Amino acid sequence: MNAVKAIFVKQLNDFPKNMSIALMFIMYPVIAWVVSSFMGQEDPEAGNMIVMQFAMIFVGMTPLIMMANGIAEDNEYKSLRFLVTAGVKPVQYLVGLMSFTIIMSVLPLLAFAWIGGISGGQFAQFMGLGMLGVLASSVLGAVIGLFSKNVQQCAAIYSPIMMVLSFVPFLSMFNDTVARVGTVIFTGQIFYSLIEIVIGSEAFEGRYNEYGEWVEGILPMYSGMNFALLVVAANALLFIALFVVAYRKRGLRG
Amino acid sequence: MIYMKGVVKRFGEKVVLNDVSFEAKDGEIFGLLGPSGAGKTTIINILAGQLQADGGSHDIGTNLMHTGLMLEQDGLYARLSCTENLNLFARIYGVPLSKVSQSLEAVGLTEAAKKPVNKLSKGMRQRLALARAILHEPKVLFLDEPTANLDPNTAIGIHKLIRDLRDRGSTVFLTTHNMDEAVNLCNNVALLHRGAIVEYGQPAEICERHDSFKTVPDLEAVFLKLTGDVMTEVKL
Ligand SMILES: Nc1ncnc2c1ncn2[C@@H]1O[C@H](COP(=O)(O)OP(=O)(O)OP(=O)(O)O)[C@@H](O)[C@H]1O
Ligand SMILES: [Mg+2]
Repeated sequence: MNAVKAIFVKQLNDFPKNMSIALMFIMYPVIAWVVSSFMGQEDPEAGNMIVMQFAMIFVGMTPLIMMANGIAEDNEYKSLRFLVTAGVKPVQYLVGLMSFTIIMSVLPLLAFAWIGGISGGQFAQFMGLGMLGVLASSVLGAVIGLFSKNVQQCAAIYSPIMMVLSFVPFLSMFNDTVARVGTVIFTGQIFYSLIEIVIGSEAFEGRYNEYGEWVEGILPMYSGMNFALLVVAANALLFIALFVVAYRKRGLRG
Repeated sequence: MIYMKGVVKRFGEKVVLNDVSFEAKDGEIFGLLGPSGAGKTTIINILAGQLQADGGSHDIGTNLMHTGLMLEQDGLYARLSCTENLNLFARIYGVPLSKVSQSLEAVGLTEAAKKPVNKLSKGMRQRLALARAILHEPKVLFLDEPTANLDPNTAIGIHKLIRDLRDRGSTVFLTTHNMDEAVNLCNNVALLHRGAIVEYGQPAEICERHDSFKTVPDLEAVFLKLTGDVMTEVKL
């Protein structure tokens, strides 16, 4: 427990000094707020949708980069070796890093919920999905960190993964094949669910507009909140399995 | 006791350690001397459990947790301050945080305690690495070239600190290519050349054996005589 706490405090000390990471926690909610307050004047629905898109991108990217980068840095600069020699167990190291990442992610999620005007029962759904997504994202980040010798290699690995995670959900609006990919990745299901929360099922099923014309849904079929939670949880489990494999193969090379 | 017996280490085809044997007694300062590339760091890496030897046996007589490490790559957290770096390890070891300021004082970094590591000079960084190594009063200290980047005065301070640690019961295992350091500081030394130990014993005794007293014991001359190589090559 000493070690977990020690690493948690170390992360806490480092957070305000690690600008590129800290900025992501502030930037996404701020941009979401600015953009939505512009768009929201004309079209509140579109405004809220943009907020949810930023929330999804935040969940997919930020915990992932924070974990991957942290582990890769510790590998590159040999800090890990000193931790391991001091008797820190790999699981303590990872729990220390991950608990900090997950706790820090609560604040931006709260901000997104507030900006997107989510409250009541929907708030619980939003936070549940968001936190499960943060868990999946941080475990995937840990896997990437384990496979990286250094920070540069780490960025080379996570960049394409992040593109898929953050663009596919959004692009499912325009292409059915992309949408099929979107239904099985956690950011996709999170995005669809958040859209369902802020707009309602008509975002998928279509609706009649004020002139009585039929408007197609903007997103492919959505199978409901329970299915979404299932997919996100399945993603998290898959990443944990990957993590176990990566760990057995590479270990934490202290 | 720290020992190696017939240790062999290869990197690919290259034999880096060839039948290395020595022992360092409890409570002494043991020096491993050799020019760049001799295999000093490799020996520390094997003893400290970082590398697997390809043959032979070795032991450090204690759990890794009771060792302190100071290596060329210091593993310090660059964005964190000196104190924050040491606090991390104090918490891991479960030693009171008051030990942190004591350690910093011991290496003369009290004034710089709040500075981030990436604002320290090379020598200051090295001293911080030493402070981290001694934080938990380890039974065994591994110091890889502890004074390599230090000015002579600071080096003398570090020598004093190393003697104090020995006097309080730690075993100190250090590497160096500085002959004076070996003669003045170490109880016993082993001379390493291309992965093999060419001589072993008390510095003065070795010099006597090889009739190599100028006005002071001269290990450099012994090394030259034994190997035909110079120890302290000119670095460009
Ligand atoms: N990971 C590695 N892979 C391949 N060769 C290596 C590796 N590590 C060390 N070597 C080789 O082993 C030899 C001994 O290296 P080592 O670092 O132990 O020397 P050293 O005595 O510590 O030198 P220095 O005084 O420069 O630190 C060198 O020839 C080096 O090139
Ligand atoms: Mg070396």
